[in-house]
Amino acid sequence: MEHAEAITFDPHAEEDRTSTGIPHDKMGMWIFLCSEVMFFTGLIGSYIVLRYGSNWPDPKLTLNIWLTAGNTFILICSSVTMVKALEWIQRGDVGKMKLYMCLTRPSSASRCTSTATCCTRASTRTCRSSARRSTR
Amino acid sequence: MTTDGHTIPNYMAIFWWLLGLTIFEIGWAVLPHHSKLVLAGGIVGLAIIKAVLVAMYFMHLKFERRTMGVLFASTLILGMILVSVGIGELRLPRPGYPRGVVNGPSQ
Repeated sequence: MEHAEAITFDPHAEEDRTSTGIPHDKMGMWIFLCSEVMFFTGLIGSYIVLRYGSNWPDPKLTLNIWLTAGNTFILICSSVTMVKALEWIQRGDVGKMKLYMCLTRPSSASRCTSTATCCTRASTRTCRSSARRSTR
Repeated sequence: MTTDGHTIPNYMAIFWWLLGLTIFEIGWAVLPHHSKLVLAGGIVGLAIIKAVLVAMYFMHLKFERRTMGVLFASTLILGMILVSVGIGELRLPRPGYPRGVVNGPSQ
């Protein structure tokens, strides 16, 4: 019975409202997401400063565009399976929610693997080109 | 079908849009361009469109209260300021420092 109540939870119900009109748990998650945006902005900002302020290697020589494209495709697939899982639990179908959650897991795992491969390749090539420059 | 007071978006339609934009992005990156600015501008523009689609539909920002949008937009504005200052440090001339050099003048 408690499980059924959890599925039909309405975040906009009067008793769930806070002083901002947004439930605490939802607000907390959004603040976390906003902090993630700031974190990645810091990383991207550092990248821009490093890239234009130093002798940055040619991206075409260090990055594999097809590997990156495959990584993006897997990222999109894992996003859509995750929201489909949410859709089915909102419709009350636990079986389909489990199916889409199971589909999300391997796509997330393969994304981690391909990202690691991409980073390893890029760093290896960058190190090699740096070594070549230093020996000249 | 509605949940939490809003209609469930067609997630598969958003997925096909994202896939199409990604394919277009790859084509844009592979095709030869005369200017690096056109290449980078196109890729960044397409990436922004994809990010907006994900935020609006997959993260349900479209169906949230305006407060949430303001909260999220404020971080983007702060981020843009941070990146702009970083670029300004490199691009704007400083006395005694050659343009584009981070570590200061060579000894």
